[in-house]
Amino acid sequence: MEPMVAIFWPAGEEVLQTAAQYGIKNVLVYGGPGSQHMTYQDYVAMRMKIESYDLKLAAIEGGFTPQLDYHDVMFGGPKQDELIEDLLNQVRDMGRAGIPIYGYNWMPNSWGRAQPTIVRGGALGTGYDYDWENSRRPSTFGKDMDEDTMWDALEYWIKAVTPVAEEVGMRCGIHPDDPPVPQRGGVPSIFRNFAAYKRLVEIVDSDYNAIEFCQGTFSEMPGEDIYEMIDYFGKRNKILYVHFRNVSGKAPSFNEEFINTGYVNMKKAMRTYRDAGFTGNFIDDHCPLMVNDDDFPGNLGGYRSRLFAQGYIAGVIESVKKEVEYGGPVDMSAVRKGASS
Amino acid sequence: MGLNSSSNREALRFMAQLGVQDVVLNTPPVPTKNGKWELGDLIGLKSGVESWGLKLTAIENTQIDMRHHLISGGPRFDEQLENMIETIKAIGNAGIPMYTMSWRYPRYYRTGHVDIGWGALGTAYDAEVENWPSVIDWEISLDRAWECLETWVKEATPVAEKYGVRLGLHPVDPPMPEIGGVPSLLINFENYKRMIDIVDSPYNSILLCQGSFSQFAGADQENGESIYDMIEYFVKRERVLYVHFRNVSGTVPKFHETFVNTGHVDMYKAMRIYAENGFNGFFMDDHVPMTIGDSSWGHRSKAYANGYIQSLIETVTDTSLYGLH
Repeated sequence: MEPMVAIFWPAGEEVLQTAAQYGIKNVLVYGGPGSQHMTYQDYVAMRMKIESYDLKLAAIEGGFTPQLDYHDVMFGGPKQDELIEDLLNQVRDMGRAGIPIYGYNWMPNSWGRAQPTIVRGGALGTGYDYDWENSRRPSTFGKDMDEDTMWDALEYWIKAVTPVAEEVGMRCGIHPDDPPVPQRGGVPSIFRNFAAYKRLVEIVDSDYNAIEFCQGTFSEMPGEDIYEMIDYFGKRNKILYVHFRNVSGKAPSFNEEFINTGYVNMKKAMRTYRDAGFTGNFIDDHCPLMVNDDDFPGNLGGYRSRLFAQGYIAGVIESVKKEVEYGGPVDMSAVRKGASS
Repeated sequence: MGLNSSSNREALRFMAQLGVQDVVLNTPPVPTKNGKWELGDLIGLKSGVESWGLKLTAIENTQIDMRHHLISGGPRFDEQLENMIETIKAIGNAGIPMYTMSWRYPRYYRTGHVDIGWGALGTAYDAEVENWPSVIDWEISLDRAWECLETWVKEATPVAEKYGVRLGLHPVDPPMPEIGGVPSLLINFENYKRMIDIVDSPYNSILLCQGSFSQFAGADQENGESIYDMIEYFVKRERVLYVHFRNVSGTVPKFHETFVNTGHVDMYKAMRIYAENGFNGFFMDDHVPMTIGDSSWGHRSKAYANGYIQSLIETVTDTSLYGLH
């Protein structure tokens, strides 16, 4: 278990040097198939640039699925086989270049939010409300799409990509639908609950068919227990890495929070990963917008907000590892009793 | 948990967003009037902090020229003693619950910076490089230096009790035996034990700059006087007001500052000792390394340290700082 930082590519020197200075040894780059087209040589150059700062290119994260060009892969259209062949070639290039993990999603409408919310100290967290979105989002394809068709196409894809991932040694995993609601613009959000992920990992029983575990989104799933899901998939070695962010509650209405002001007990979550035998990395993912923050070349949140989350992540990882030899955290009820006696 | 010295509005808002609740102002720009601070100015200072939903929990240091004769036994000792006691009364009347200060003259200093990895800079001290000229034009013996401290503690503590201001003394940083011709007292475990015994009162306490304590000779050894031993001793006796939670590599005569989680001190272990002994004060980041692209105040580096501190408090005690779970 180690901290990881997620950045856009190409990366400037400042962000790589920042990661090196703060001891954040693992780097995730947003990209891969469907973003700017990168060749085998581009991936090798990316990895070497990152390694030149004594950092590790630990994962690439992206998603071809929100792009119209690739929709036949998700809905089983006429160009399905041709597109999959192209994607598999890109997956081979990434794997051969030494990229160990590829995280992607299955969201034709990408991710979405509604109005932002004021959080701690007047900072801004993203917000979501199902009715708000539904009243504004037009139908994506002019008709409601069929969920079974999407599952069929997904199974076809998983059966095609998993052997290639195994062959080149690059583990692949899917990010949940964020927000995890029934549908958006007439397109079913198929990765919106625990059951969908159990179904996914059983399509092909392989470490190379896994999950990009956005803990934030899993925490937003109505009716599900976040700790149970961490435990279940952690024990089965299905978690590639974690988006370690926090939220106020679950769909249909929630907002993002600072890492330690949401409803999820992040200490308990981290202990659950540890006890399940998880050994991967944790990224800050989205961070609230803070006063006068400096733009960060990555996801939501500037340098300051992100480094707060990174400090928190480093501390909770260190603590949860070290507390094992002490037999757990300090029993504060005993301390208080001792003080009063 | 708590923070720090700048009182400008952006800094206060930034700290509120980081989740800071207690604010410490170090040498705030309160005007010195006839050698002392006055109530009206302190009320203005306090309301400026409170207007951001924060609490002004402590003032750390007055201007050094209000108290340099007091510390180093100069000819204006009596005058400064009286003015500082009047200042303590004003702080109490303003409703500020703590006043802490560094019992040293000259002030804090370093001799350089060290690259602590990929160009991040930590401040550094090396006794071989240090070359302070004498800062006083009188002589002061070690005995006289103790007499000055004892007089202050004996005179100030009853006033502090009456006015509801807990007093705490910060170590000499760097903790060398003599600087600029003035003997240093608060540089080791033994002298701190002696200091708190001058008057046995919670109003005669310690600002536990864990960084400075970690720089004490031998603080990195298992000798019964390690940083962990010192924390336990003073927390058990309820004589720690709050903590400067920073880390260092090495001890005097040569050391440098590091990131909060990369020095010789195991910060997790330290945090457990505070918790196990019932400490209920706060932790602040204090000095942080300079990192690429950061503001001169160090917003990014402070954000990192604050995140780390919050996670250690929450994980060690298995509680939420916000009462959430």
